[in-house]
Amino acid sequence: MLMPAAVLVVLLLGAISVDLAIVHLRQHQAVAAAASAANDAVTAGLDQAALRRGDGYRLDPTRVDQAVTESIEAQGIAADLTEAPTVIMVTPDTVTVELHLRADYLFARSLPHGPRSTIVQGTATATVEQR
Amino acid sequence: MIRLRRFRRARGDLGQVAGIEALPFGVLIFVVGALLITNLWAVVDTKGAVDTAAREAVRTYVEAPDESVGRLRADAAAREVIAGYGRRPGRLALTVEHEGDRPFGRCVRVTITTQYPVPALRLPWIGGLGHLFDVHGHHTERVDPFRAGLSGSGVC
Repeated sequence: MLMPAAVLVVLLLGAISVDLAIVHLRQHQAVAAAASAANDAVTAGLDQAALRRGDGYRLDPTRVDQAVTESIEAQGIAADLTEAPTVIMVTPDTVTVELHLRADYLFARSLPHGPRSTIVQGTATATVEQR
Repeated sequence: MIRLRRFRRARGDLGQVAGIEALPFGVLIFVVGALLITNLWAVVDTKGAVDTAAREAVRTYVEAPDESVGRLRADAAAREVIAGYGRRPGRLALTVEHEGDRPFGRCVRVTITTQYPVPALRLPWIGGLGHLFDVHGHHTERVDPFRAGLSGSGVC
């Protein structure tokens, strides 16, 4: 009688570890994607007109948004976003990008009333360093 | 009067505990389960390593003075990361792609893909045996449109 229980326990633990590993990797991906988008945003998002006017290095919100969008599309994760990326210009030369990605479970969704997916969050901040 | 009982060798299965076969099978199941989880962790760990390697490689590449130097430095950076994770740098494969096949320059979006083989069986202290599949990692970044040392337009 213990044998089926043992098999079940091992299978269950294995399934849980697989699902948690998927979430862990997705979280990692979200952070990396946010870092890449923030990095692109602080360079490609420069307000060139302001710089030429002598107002120093400041970011143009429209360019920043465009750079973030292009970066996310280039990384192939646009379809997995649960909401539009949050882009916050903390200071005139610092951008924070927050992404919410959907992570689909592999085993948990086969349980009755089990969750099909979860949402992971990745946040990154980039600041311009002029050299 | 004392009777000495002769020692009789046990025959048959008298005295066996019912269900004793559960012990070896139970041990086997837990060993297989432990190996499964170890292998799963090997995949997760490798994925983390190749993703980090790709990220470091891209960051090194986009700051290089030219393409050839960039490739060399990116390759070295990626292998350093893999070595840092306790893996063999020689097994890492790395490809560099420019968006639209544009030459190295400002605003070019660079994607680096890293690839590392995962062993079919990974045992603690012994290492990996066989080859199951390759784990891929990729990262993308744009070459700084306003950086010095490169020719071309800064408009992306």
